[in-house]
Amino acid sequence: MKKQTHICLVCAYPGLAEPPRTKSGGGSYEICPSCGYQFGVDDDDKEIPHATWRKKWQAAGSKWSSKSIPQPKNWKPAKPAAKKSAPKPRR
Amino acid sequence: MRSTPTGKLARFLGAVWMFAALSVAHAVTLTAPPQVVPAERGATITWKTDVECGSRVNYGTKADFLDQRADGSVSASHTVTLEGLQTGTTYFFAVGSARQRLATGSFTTTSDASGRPLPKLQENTSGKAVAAPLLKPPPTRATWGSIASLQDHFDRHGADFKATSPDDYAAQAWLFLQRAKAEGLPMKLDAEDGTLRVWEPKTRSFAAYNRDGTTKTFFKPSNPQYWDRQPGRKITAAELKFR
Repeated sequence: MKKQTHICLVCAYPGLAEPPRTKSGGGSYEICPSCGYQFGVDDDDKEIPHATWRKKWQAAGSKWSSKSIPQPKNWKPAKPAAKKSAPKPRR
Repeated sequence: MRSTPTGKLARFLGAVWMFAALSVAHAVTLTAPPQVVPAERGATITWKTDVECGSRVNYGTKADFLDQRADGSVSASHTVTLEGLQTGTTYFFAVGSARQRLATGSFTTTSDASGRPLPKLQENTSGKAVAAPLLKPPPTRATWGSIASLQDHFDRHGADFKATSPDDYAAQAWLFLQRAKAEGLPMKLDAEDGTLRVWEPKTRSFAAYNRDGTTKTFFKPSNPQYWDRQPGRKITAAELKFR
């Protein structure tokens, strides 16, 4: 059975082992192997917004971050998906 | 039918024999020797028996005078936490139940502010004192949750604890949990995913553990509100479901 994976809220890497945040609001403490953002640390402790980290990571060439987890061949960091705009209220 | 004095004696002897036989049949046997995790002002002692029975530790600073005691729950996997000990002091102990003592030993509480157990001096065959670690953490694979990510956690946070390698970093995280249990450091349990969060105000160290006790991460937050922000119900070490 294929293990369920989760999407990084910063770089959209789809291979995280845990949801970045639980329903209680706690971070997973997982370090995204793609962009290096650590949920529950870079946000809760260092207070770095996802967008700020993303811009910095992209400016540095969107390099694979992890030294121990190999980069999947099919993973090509793209521009993060545009934020879904809220549906327009019906009139 | 009236019983004769001989019959009464026979029944009495039979009952005595049965009691003795049952006592022998239910004699508790040690299946894992006592392991001690000392801290500055406490220690956690664990051992295992073949059947469930009470948990009792008699202890003191003299081997022949164990004048204090601490009890744990009825179990085959025993854990008893000693509190209120003096730092840097050698204690002698006996583990067992209220009925019998199964093993004896000794340990020395730490006096290092970092929480690392102090080396225990022992004599080798030449009579020269050599240092030997008092507590040996289990292999990293048994203590770290996601081995593949350990290097990344070490790279980011290893310097917080002057860790010399990923294995050293993982070992320190495990020791931190043992010390937290022994000293009663603040803990929060997240009912959502079973994450245990541990905090030591003195050194401003934080660790998160999976529901099975393996480590998620270990670091020193810089944000003064970090611990207060972390979710979870405050718990004590006695409520933990893992050793």
